Amino acid sequence: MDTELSNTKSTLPVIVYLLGGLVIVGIIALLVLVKQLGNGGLRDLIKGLNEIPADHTINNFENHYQLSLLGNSWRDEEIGKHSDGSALAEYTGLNKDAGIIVFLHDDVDNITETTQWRIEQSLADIPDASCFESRSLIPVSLNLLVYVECEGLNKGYSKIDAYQFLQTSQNTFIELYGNLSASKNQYKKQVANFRGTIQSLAPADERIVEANENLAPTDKDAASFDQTQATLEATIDETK
Amino acid sequence: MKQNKSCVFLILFSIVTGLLSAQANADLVTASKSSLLIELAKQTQQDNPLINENSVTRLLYDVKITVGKHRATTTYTEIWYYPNRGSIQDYGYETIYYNGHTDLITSLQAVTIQANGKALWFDNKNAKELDDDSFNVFTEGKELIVNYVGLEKGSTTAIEYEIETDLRKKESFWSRIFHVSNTRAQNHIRIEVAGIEGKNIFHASDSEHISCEQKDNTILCEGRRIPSISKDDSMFFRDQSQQIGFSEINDWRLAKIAVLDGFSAARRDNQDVMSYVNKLVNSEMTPEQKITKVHEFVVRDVRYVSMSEAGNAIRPHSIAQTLENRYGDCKDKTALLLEMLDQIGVDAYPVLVSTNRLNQNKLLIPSIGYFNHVVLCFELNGQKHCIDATDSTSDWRYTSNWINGNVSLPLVEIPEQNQGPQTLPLPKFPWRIENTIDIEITDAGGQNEQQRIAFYDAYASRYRSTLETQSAQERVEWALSLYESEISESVVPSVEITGIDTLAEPIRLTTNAEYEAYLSIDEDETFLEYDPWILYELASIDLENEVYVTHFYGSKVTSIINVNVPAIWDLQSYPADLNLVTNYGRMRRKVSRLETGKFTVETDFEVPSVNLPADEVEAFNKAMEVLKAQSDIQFSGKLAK
Repeated sequence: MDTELSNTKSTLPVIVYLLGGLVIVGIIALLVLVKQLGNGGLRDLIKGLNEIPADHTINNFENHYQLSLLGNSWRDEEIGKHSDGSALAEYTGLNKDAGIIVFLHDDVDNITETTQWRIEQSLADIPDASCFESRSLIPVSLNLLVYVECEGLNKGYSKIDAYQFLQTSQNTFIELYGNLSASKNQYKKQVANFRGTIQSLAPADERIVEANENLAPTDKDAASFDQTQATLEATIDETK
Repeated sequence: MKQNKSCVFLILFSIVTGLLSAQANADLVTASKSSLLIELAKQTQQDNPLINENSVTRLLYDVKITVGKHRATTTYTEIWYYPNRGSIQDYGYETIYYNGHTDLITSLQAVTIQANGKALWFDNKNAKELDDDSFNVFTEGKELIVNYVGLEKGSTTAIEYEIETDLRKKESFWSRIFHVSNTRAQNHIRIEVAGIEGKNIFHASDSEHISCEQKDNTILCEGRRIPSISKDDSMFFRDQSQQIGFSEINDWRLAKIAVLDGFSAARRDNQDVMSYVNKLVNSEMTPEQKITKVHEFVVRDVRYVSMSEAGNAIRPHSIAQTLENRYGDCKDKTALLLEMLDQIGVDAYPVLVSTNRLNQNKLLIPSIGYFNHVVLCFELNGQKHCIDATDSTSDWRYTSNWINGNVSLPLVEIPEQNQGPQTLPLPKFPWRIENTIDIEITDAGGQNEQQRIAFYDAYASRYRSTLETQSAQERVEWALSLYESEISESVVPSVEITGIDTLAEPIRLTTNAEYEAYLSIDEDETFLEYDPWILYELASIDLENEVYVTHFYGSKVTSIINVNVPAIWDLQSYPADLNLVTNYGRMRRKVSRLETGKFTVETDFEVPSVNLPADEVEAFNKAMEVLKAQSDIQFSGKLAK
């Protein structure tokens, strides 16, 4: 079953996300293009644009987060596939039963209001869902990590909405929002990877940035690119 | 959150620079008006062109001491500069602290030199002699007040006096501690100590501004331009000031023996004590029950009165006398409790304590003068217990908070350990609260609430101290005031307080309140509750030190909140589970859903005791802010169909 995340909205003006998303997508596309052209031609490039290796970890240094797409068959989607277009990134996976969206919220005064709003959304979609929320602090910081989950049945399908909020500064949160909907048997197979994926949202591994900054002067090809965080991320992928 | 309480134990020896042990008898020797003193004052002022024009400055502090076999002679010369009226109002006098039993002033002269050079002499007949005693404390301590005459802006004062101390009348060895850093700037300090008649004098210093030299048996310490000590929100002056110590011994074990002799003598006549103990305990009791009995007798049935006059500055009165009087000070009550514990088989020992020192490294040289209190300690079932026998509101299993972590000197030989000063143990959570709160939302949209709060350890001691002397009505008013400030002003609950009379019990407060309807019963609702006693703790944790280490005394709250929402609403969302762990404390919360409409919120809040460097205060306060921000209990209900 296809995911049902369309019309999911962040709290920022759409135009901000659109512009941000367009810039990031543009950069990623350029880098992937360069990478793929060098390694295997156009066919591989098109394939590489969509499919993501199993258990792949994505570091987004610009927005200070990382996430791991657990299991195979995850695909990178165009912004707007699942969201209202305000997302930072979107993915489909787990046999197309799951969709996830990354949002940036940069004006959060009270995270409880946001989590309550998400729970209300989920309960509207899964009326009999059981919801719970847990909060912790990111180690060696005072930033919050909030996990919300609503699980239930809808039209004979098992369904789960899950959200992880990662505080990156005083009023800024990255949200990883996901939905899995599948037959009971399929759901049992997929739900662990789904939860693991949502709960993988964490601060970006800045050590990788530092490592690559140290490497950068010896890498002439890399030096020819604009030294943005995104190019660094691409370099990391190559080294893997 | 820490209280301070001190016994006058050894007060005669608590001598610091500026608190000069001196002597005045009824016939002060009228000094010849020495032109030398005037010349010295003028010369000193001329030699100090960098005088601070904003605050009073000590231009010279010159002390000469000779310590002989039976007599110590100390000559003090001090010169002060007063730049403005404020400094004159606040500091235009000298207080000489002295001991009426051992000290004798042999000369005193004080003069004011006005800005125009005119010298005005203080008439010694106008010196005011005061007792240093306070309520329930009787000592040989005296004060002599010298009010400088003719002080005006730009004046300089000079004072000189000599004191003879009869060492044969002292109960311990000779020692002196000088705090050479002060809250005011000082331009010149000179301290010379000479041992004569075969007396050896040892010294130690931690001052970076004063250097000491020893030639034969004379030690000369001197320094110039000593900056004032920084002030901070929470600090003990004695932990921060730079010091020089002089003592006729250099082995702490000798200091212990000097005090222990007095305790041994006081416990010699113990016949009456045995009969008292036999009335208090019986062979059926456990060791803990026996300790409880003798402890309660000494702390509650022997009241605190200090008779620390001649001969009993550091020596306790005989325990027979203390028992008969039914009063005594810290050393008297400690000696009595030591004996009683001994008779029930508990091997306890006295421990000298400084109630105004936390840094044991500041005890440079053996001196009893560092200490102003005495308690006792013992081990039971592998756990160390320390009891302040003057604390009538704490259980013996809990060490009084005013001495937790303080500098101490156990008067016992400790195998293979440092024989010198130590610090008393600092409990992880001296301030401890447990609460269970039942919240029942009514069909009308009001609330019935019952709170059962138990205050332990430092809280129990503090509140018991407040409540034990109050009438029943005053206790109710106290509880209502607490409820109003911490819970709500909109309702007057019924209250019940227990545990005041039993030291082993916490202070328990139970409140029952009925809130009128405040919710709309015909629409969805978001409920907001809070953990009041966790907020109570967090509200009191706001550290402000900018310079020195903060000694934070830990706090622990265990909270259970039972919520019952009527069938009007279907619960939609519940409070979040919390696992908030910071470098300085943590808050963990577990939400358990029960039958329909009911859930329980269990929260553990812990901020352990810590000695916090000033550069971590901001991080500590931020951590507390985060815990506070996450302490709300929010849940929502959808109107049932």
